[in-house]
Amino acid sequence: MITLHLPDDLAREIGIAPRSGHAAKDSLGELLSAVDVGSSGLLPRILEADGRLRPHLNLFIGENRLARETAMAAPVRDGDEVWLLRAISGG
Amino acid sequence: MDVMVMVGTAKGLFRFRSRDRRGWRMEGPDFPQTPCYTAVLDPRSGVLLAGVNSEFYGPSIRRSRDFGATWDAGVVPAYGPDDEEQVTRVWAIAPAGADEPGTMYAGVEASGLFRSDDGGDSWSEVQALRRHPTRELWGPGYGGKCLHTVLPVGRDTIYTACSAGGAYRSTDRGESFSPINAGIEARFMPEGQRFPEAGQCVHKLSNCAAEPQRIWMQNHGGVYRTDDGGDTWHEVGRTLPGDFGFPVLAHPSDPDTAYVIPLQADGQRWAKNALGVWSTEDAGATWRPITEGLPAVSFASVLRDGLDHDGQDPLGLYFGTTSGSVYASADGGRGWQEIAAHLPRIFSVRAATLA
Repeated sequence: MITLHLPDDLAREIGIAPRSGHAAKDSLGELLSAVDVGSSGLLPRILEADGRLRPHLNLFIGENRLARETAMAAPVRDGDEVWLLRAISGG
Repeated sequence: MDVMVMVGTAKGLFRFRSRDRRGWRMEGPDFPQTPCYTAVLDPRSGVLLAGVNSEFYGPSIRRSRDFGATWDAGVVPAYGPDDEEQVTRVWAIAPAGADEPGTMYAGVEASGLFRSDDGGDSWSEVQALRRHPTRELWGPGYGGKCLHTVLPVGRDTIYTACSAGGAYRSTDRGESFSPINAGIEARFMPEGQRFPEAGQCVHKLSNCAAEPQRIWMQNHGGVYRTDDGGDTWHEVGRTLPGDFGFPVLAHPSDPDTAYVIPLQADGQRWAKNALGVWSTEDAGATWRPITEGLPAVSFASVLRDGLDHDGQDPLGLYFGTTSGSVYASADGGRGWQEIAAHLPRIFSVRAATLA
């Protein structure tokens, strides 16, 4: 089981829980694609059209912060904690 | 019947409702902390549509079937994965005519046009516009490289404008487009190059249902009018206190009447001692100010989508400023009432009469 943590505002908008458990997949992209099917549009909100992570978001697997360009290819394993964080900027 | 004034701001959508257009009740804000560039009522369905541009999660076109009490998650419009440009904001949403009940258009940044034929369930690009060879003349204005105006007329004609880029017309439902900028001056260009085929910084277009080929334009310097759908333009703003500004609004039924909000100058984008809506009732030959109820001194500005009417008789007029005030006039613009103050920076004001 992989645990996915989403920002509250995003989770509310797309209709899934801020903390949810998912069956293991080979890559983060596969995991999030599976979550996307059960949501109201997770992937278009976190990825740009070319597949890169949107610039004001961060993805972590455990303690490892992922690069925007390669995040979706990152391997995930049973027991991983995946965190999607939004920037705290703004005024 | 209630009138709803939808105010899109840098930090969400604020809605104001009134039965008598004197007392107003605020609802919302919807999409808190999220820029909302436009919101409109689709009069065919009663659905509200909003262009919501999250700094974090990208742009989306959202719908509400209960006048704003709840909103769907919406659709994120996007160009293809290999496109050199990305859709970063939704600037305009325009329902088509009554004979195409599911069709609506959206203007986006980077400048491009989208259409939905299923009531907003899905959106796809009207590709012919960005494929026009004059696209290489387009560039970003200070607000971004945005397609901000879409005016569908009947089933086949679409007028649209982008900044900077100019005005374009399609007469085949978006299969092809032609620039309609002859005679529109681009004062920011070098001498001898100020009347290009495209590349003008058009700030806003507006037309009236009674005579849709008569279109008013607030240009980046100059107010213009065309009577032939953009084939020829006439400069009509020379007697205004300043010919720089952002919004222009056609009267809903009188083709000779229009409204603008002049700013002091290109380099001084505020109203200063002249905050007011100026109206013409003779097709631009003369203009008169409507200032009663407005502050004597104001350094506010009004952005391109910050002026609208409610379509009623007498006509209700509404505008919102960059300093967060919303003004309303229930008597065709004889005087103004401040119905909200201290809102975030206002991007758009859209009024609608709720059935």
